[in-house]
Amino acid sequence: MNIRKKISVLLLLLSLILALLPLSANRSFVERPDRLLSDVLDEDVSFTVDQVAEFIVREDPSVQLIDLRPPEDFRKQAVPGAVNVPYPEFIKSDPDIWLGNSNIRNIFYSTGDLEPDYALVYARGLGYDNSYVMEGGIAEWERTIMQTRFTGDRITARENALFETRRRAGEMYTELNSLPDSLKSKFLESRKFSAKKLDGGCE
Amino acid sequence: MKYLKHYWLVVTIFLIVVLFVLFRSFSRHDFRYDAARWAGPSVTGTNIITEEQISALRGEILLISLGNQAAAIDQLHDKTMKVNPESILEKGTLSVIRKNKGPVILFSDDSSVTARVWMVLSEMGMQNLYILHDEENRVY
Repeated sequence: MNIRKKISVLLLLLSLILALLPLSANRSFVERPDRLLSDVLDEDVSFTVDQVAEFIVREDPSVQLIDLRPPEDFRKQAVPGAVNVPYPEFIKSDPDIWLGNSNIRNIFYSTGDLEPDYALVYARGLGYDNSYVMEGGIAEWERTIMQTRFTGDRITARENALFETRRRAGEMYTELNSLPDSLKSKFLESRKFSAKKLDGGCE
Repeated sequence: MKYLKHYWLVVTIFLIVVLFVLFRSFSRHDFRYDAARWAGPSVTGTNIITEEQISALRGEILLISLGNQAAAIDQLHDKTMKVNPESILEKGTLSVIRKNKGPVILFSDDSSVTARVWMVLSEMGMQNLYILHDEENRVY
């Protein structure tokens, strides 16, 4: 075998090795494991339901709530301002669609804790440091925001502010979730992300 | 040989790139390629296991307590490690996990910590890795 053939065979073999490597390398974690671990175990990556309630009441434009539950659960009960990205869809598709705007803090929530925490590590691992979780998910929201009651004789200014935020957020939650199904579906549909629309450009 | 002399620079660069890619792909100290694939069990829920299901697992079972629940579980299983979540990536701990010939089960009194540690380890290429939860669907 002459040298040209030998080189060709070598290059073909190496190309074959490269071809066998996974193709979705563009969606591999970019952080170092130790750094990512300390990042996601830090308290700063979580918001309490009270903090989230405040964002909602203030209609804070720098916050985007991402509901990871299945669409049928989201249609039944949704936190005002949230968009629905079911967890399997979140993992399967390009997260840049939802997390690409670095000026927005994305807060994941679900029924409980597991899926938002997976999503948090996944997103931060891919380099989206604007990702957070709402502690306790919808269950904690129901417990803390919806069941809040004032029972004492006196209330401090701070307690009053907290109670008012919870009451207002609770009202917004109830208003949204008591809309007739047709209106609610339209409202939630309008809040759904569309990759096509987000591609940008004027028509 | 004369062709090699002509193309030595191209071939060298190509070989360096190949070696770099191979190292990056199969390095055991870093994250693996294809994040979605390694997150797969969290989508299907096959990474969640109950105490009853543990006995059906094959191989040497390693239980890792990431909190203070070890006492309740280690009565049932001999091989239980108590690890601070922040230290799970230390060389010694990783070596024990990797050398274990069987399933590795994580549990903690804080389900968030367990889920986060599971995802980090899984993305590092660890398979046969589970999260323990009890019958009331409460994750340890």
